[in-house]
Amino acid sequence: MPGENLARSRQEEEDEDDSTTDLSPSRASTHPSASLTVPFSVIAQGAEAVLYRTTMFDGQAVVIKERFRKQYRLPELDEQLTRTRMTAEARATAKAWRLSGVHVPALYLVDWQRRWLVFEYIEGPTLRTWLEGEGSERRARIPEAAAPVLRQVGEAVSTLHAADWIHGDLTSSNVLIRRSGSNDGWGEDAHELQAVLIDLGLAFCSSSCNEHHVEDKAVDLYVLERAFRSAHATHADAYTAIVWQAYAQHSRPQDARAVQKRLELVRQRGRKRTMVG
Amino acid sequence: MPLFLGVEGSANKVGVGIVSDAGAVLCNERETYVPATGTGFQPRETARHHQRQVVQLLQRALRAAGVTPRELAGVAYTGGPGMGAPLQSCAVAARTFAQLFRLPLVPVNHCVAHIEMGRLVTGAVDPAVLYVSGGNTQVIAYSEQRYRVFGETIDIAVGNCLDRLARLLGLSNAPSPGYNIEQAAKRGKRYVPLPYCVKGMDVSFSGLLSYAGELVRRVSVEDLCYSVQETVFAMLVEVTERAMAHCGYRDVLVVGGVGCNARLQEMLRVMCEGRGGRLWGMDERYCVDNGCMVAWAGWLGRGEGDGWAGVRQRWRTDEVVVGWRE
Repeated sequence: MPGENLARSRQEEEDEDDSTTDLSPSRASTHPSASLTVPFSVIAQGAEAVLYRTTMFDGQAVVIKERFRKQYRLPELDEQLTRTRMTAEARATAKAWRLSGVHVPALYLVDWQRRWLVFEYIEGPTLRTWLEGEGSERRARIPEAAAPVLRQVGEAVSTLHAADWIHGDLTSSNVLIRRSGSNDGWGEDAHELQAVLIDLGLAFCSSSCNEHHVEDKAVDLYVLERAFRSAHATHADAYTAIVWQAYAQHSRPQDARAVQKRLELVRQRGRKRTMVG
Repeated sequence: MPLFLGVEGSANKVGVGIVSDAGAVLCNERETYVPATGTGFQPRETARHHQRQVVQLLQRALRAAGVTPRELAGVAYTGGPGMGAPLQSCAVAARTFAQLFRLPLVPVNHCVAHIEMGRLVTGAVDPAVLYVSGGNTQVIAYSEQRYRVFGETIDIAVGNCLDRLARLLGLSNAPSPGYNIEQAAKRGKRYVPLPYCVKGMDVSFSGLLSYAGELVRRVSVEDLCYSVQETVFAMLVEVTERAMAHCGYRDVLVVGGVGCNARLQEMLRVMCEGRGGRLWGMDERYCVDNGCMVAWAGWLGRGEGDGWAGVRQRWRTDEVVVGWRE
């Protein structure tokens, strides 16, 4: 497995790296499912998977998400977990892709043997880096300027929830910003930008017959709120308010009310309990 | 050289330790309440055990360290979190001792004491911390004067899960149920799939325990111990790694009673090495509840008190303001 070498040699965390590295999966060129034109480059390295950028299908830019083998756990357990999670992610992405108003990368290929999900490559920064601002001074984007993008996030989550899907890991690092129009900058004219939800590895379906479905939705939003607070402290409350407002306006009033009520409860207990001993 | 004495008694161990201001351990005395096989420790019986043991432990500790009470700079005790009655018993002993010899008294948070002792013994400077014991399961990282909890159990602690498995299997509580599970697991060969429950950075063990309970008659003791350990430890390592990726840590410090399990340490070591970091682990002297860690945390936090000298059964790790770190 290519992942075995990777697990040991990976160093650069979350490193934006366009140069070709020697981390490229071996045997790639013999793979039957696609005509792979190396170079591969590592885009990011998370706790569970490594992301490569390459081209497939006659020059189409793609992202390979490889869930590498975890050496610390039993092979049987590792196999079982990887399978479950790849299935969940593939299923959720495919479902979300069909919802209008929700942007997710298209899923091109599932390769069980290599533990790969191959997605459409999305050009653009994460919401996290985009909110932190650009240039040398790196001032956090003011809420008014970020509003059009944040509203899209709120609406997309609302659509997802209306279809009974929970993202499961909504953070500002799991939203990409793609240019949809023709303007050249990432900055001022935020109307041209499109929010794309990624990393649906923890997504699940929580139908309204499930007694927990309101809770699940509230927790989904709470996770985003907490991510704003830990990564974007200055404007966290304003960002949260914009997302929530768009979410509420876009949802059925009774659903929005139920989720809001639940969200207050979730905030109070902070999803954490007071521990004994 | 200022010396601090610490009294620990939040669960089934009662311990007295003396450390110096430089972190030298002068003595580390401990007694464990071991309930009959198939039962757990109840607050009342545990408290009675501690009450019977604490005075002779204090005497033993002073003798072992070769110091008199007058040479001490202060007394620390576990203020919480923990079981009420055992905590109260040890607090009474510590208060009495402090008043007898006119020593300053410092209540200490048990979880923070574990972390600080781990840093002292291993020399780890700023690691991510996995705190796993019979009462607690938390992934912790330090930031801005607090030990912040990034992930934790949403129901029972991992040690509690193992203790109760030992009870179901009829394994002895001596020297500890976790130790006996570890030994049985070494002879296990067949992996039986069990519920694996990770939610973001949090873990849950209660479902796994119920499921394991169903398997008791159908799977051998060895195989069940092996499978449970492999599953719950994989969950712990996964959430620890996720927290590390999130906060940019390379090293892990493992503390708490479950932390001396060799298989857990091995799995954490493999994970850390894969990330270019290392694991900081300890043996049972300092992993398991002890008086030294309370003494050391008392010394570190000696200036922070507000005169409160009670006990709290619930006292979160992230409530403590860590004034002694930069």
